[in-house]
Parts: sequence; structure tokens; C-alpha cells
Amino acid sequence: MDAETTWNVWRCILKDDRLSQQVASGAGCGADLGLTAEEAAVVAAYAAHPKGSRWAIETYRYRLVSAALGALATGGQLTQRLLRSADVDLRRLAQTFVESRGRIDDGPFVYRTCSAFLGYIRTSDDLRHLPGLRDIAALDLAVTRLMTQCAELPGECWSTADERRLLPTDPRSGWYVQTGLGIVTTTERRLTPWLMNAELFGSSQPEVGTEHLLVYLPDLDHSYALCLIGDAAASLFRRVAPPCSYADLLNDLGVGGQQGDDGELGGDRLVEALASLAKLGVVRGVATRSEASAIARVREPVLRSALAEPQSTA
Amino acid sequence: MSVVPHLGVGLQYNPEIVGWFPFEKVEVDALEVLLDTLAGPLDSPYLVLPGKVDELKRLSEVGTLIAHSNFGAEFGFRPLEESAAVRRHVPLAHLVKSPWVSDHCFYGDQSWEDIWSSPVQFSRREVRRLASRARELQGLYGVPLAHENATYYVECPGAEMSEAQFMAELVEASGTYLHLDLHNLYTNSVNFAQFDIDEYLRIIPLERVIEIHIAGGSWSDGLYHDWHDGPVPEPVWDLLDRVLREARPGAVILEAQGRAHHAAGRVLSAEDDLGTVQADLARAMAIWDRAFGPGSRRGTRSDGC
Repeated sequence: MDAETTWNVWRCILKDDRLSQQVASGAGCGADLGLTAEEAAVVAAYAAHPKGSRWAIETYRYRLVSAALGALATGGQLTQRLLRSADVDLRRLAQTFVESRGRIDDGPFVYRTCSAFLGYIRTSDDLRHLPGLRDIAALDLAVTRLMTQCAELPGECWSTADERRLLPTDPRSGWYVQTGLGIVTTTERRLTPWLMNAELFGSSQPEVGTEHLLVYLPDLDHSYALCLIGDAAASLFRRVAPPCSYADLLNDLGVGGQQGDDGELGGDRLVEALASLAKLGVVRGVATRSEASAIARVREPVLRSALAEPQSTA
Repeated sequence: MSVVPHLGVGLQYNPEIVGWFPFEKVEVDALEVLLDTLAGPLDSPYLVLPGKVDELKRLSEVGTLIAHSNFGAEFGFRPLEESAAVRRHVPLAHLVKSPWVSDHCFYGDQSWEDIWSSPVQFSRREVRRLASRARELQGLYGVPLAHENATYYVECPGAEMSEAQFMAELVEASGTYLHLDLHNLYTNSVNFAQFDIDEYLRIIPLERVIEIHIAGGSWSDGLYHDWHDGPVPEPVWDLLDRVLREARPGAVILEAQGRAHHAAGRVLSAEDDLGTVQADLARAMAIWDRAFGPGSRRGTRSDGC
């Protein structure tokens, strides 16, 4: 009996109700389930030990639910807090989630599980009535997206050296690009009162109103951080997903024009905004287009995923 | 390969009891840390989770830290370099300066929860395949790698030899070591009529045992379960006494955990279990001292090393 085949069949038994019932009843041989003769022999071998197999299956399924809860605690802490404040039975919720996706075991890919669980929570009819849940879950989803995209970044991205967080000597001739260490998510309701006071979670529906929250990872010694930014900063951040020159930024975003100020003042505000984003490590300013393009290439998979996914909760 | 230090008796630093067990005050010779609880998820940028480095520094003042891997998945069928063992556990073991590392003889790949029900197949082909991976992994760790015998509800079909023969041939072929879990032996002997502990201990090379686990468990539905949710049973104490007369492991580690594997498991608490854990540690130390002398443990040696 080939070991790899045996293990793969066993994993199917763990997940699949029809197979697991055949095995646990001691009658199984995988009939009518499209198995090869070799695979059916494996099912029959486990079915010869129905009690032990049943316990192994139960243990797997119990642990899988615990793993989903662990994933939510890892990447969905705000959502978890909101659900707890509403006395939601989290274990039961996790069980229905796990069963809804065919008892997939993501193992060490914890944010993958977390992302799927948050998506499930966000669209659950049973939870729709909870105030603020949709926006809070979307914010946590941005966290999980940030973590998974940061996992792809090479080691040099994590340098906290000051020179990487400063603008070029002449900021007005520089090029700017996202580093991949931050994501902006836009909410439909104002979450900041909750974020600043955990006791308010779930107490009432958050006020309607757009907020831009920058989720970023300052370094590898700390967890993620949140920063409330304005409309102009959010537009600026999104504009530098691909490399962009200062001149183009000034032209495209019209920072000064929006405020009715002259170009010089607008330029100062743009430099100030770029400096703030650079200091947080989410944007880099460099002297040349080729340097900026090199940074963009390093995080190319990150960029692709960022562009492919919606950046708003709307 | 480095020489295994003769440390003494320790406790597993298990997240299930961290909330109430006074780990930073307990007097032990070593603490066993679970690498999976320190490592960042594979889809995150973290090698080690935020805050864990400081936690490890505090724990290292209690005793020598020994690295233990549950979910390394090194014995799966995907390339070894993709495994959590290589991507996370190897650098973490270096970080904690673990004198050796132990793992489990389970299948796993990009999964976790199926590991516990997936003991490896005790076949000749698997001896060869796993020995190759174990040898390579031990080289990456740079310290001895020991394989823990598993407890299971059902053996992997296709076995060509006993578990003891398999473990003996595995370490012979790979140059790796054994982590002997006495409670796992006991559990299997209770649940499987054909599982003979005496024969097991005759077959495995006891001189290659570098760590021992002891623990307790519970009965449910006519089976005995390795749930680490009770006091160490008497037959396991007898086994420890017996094995320490023939083997010279680096450490004996007590496991206490609670309801991690099944809803029927018992949740441990300070009120009900602190005294039991402390008493089990004291008894293990007494057995160790009887085997190797009263000044033979790291905590009782005059040089403290």
C-alpha cells in the first residue's frame, strides 16, 4: 500500500461525510464514490478499525474548529471583539464556517483561514444585524491582506534605517512608490471612536461617514498599526501604487488647487504628506525613476494582489 | 553533532496553561518550548511572533529552553524546504539556542490538524524516505534531532514492521535520535492489545533516547486518550524508573495541557491542577536523582551548567 496514496485517502476520509460515515460504521469500501481499487482498499483498511477511525475523525474536526478560532484571534481581533460583545457563540460560528468550506485545513497559512472566516462572517445573514460588523470585518480583512502581501516581500524591505524613511534631497524632483508595507481601506461608517475606546464596540451603530484607515506594519518586532488619514493622503497613497514623479503627483492630485492655494503652498503640503507616508514606511521617495521601478518590481506580486482586490468596504 | 547536555527535569511551556501556571517561578532544569506557538504563520512576514522574543528571554532565566516541534511537517511528501520545519523551526531553534530539537513521526504538509491522526506508515520504503529527510533536517538544525513516538487511534495501513522496529531502523539509517514519550507508549499499550511495551523497549536503541515525555490522560468511550489532562499514571512512573536505569536522556519533560484535542478533554485550572503538576514534577525529579545522583540536574549541580 503506497504511503502517499494512503495518507491522501485518509485526508479525504477526515473531510468527507460520506466516506467518514462508511469508515466509522465499519462497512466502508468507498463504493459509489469514484475511488480507484487502491483507494478503496485504503478506505476498507480504516473501516476495519471503526472506533479508532471515528475518534481520529472527531479529533480532526474538533481541532479544525479550534484552528479557525485561533486564526480569527490572530488576524481578526477587532471582529472577534465585536462578536464577543454581542455574545455570539464563536465556537458554533466557527464550526459552521469550517463545514461550509469542506473542512479545509490551511495549517500554517493562518491568515488564509482568517481571511476566509472574515469573509464568511461579513456575509452571514445571521450576523447582519450587528452594528458595525461589516466595516470592522472589512478592516480586519485589510489586516490579513497586508500580512499575506508582506509575507512575499524580501528581507531588505524591513530595513528601518532612517535614510529609507526620508525623502530624496530634492523632493520636488523625486519619484515615489508604495513599499507594500501599508494598505488603505475606506469604511462607510466612522470606526475611530470604537478603535480608540474598546468599550464602545457593539454599543450602537457607528455613525455614517467615510474614513480612510491606513493599516501598516512598522517593523517585524511589532504588530500592525492603524492611522486615520484624510481624503488627499488616501488619494496620494493610491496614486503611488505604480511609481510616480513628484511633478505628475502635483498635476494629478492638484493638492494645492483643491485647497485654493497657490502652487507653492500646494507643493509644500504634498511634500509634507509624502514625508509623513515615507516616515511610516509605506511610501519610498527616491531620486530616479529606475530606482522607484526597482522597488515596484520587488513587490510586484504584492502590487498585483493589491490592484486585484477592492480597497474599499463599499 | 554537539553532545547532548544532561539537564534534568522540566516542564512543557504550553499555551493552554500559560494563563494560570507560574512558569516564571517554577523550579525546573529546563522548559520545553513549542516552536509552532512562537513562529509566525507561513503567510505572514514574521519569523517569530511579536513579543515572543522578550517572552523567551524571560523563560530562559528559568531553565534551558528545549525546542519541540508539533507541526513541522517534515515527514510529508512535499519538498522539505517548503516545510514549516525548515522555514520557521530551524531559525527559531537557533534563536533559542536549543541543545537539541524533537519532532513527531506524523505526516503533514500545508496542513496541521490532520497531523495528529496521521502516524507514518511503518514500511521499509518509508524508513528510507524519512531517514533521508531526517538526516537533511538534522543538518540544518545543527543539533541532534529526535523523533517522538506517537500515540494514535488507528495505525497507518500498509505497515511491514512494528513501530519499535521502524523507529530503530529510522534512527540507524538517518543518524538521528529518539524522543521517547512514555505516556504515548502506555496509551497505545492500553488501546491496542498487540502493543507490547517490553518488546518496544527491547527493540529501540535506548542509548539514542535524548528526551523523555511524561504526561497523564483520560478515559472516554472505552478508550484511553493522551490528552495531558490528568496526573501521570502509575505505570508511566514505573516506566520512567525503568528507562532511566538504561538510558541517559538530556531531559525528562512533563506535559500538561487540557482540552486541545477533543471536547471530552478536561480543562485544567490553577485550583484543580497546580498541585498535581508540581507534585508530578517533584516525583520526576526524585526518580531522576535516584537514577543519576542528587547533584546531577542543572538546577542541583554545583556549577549550575
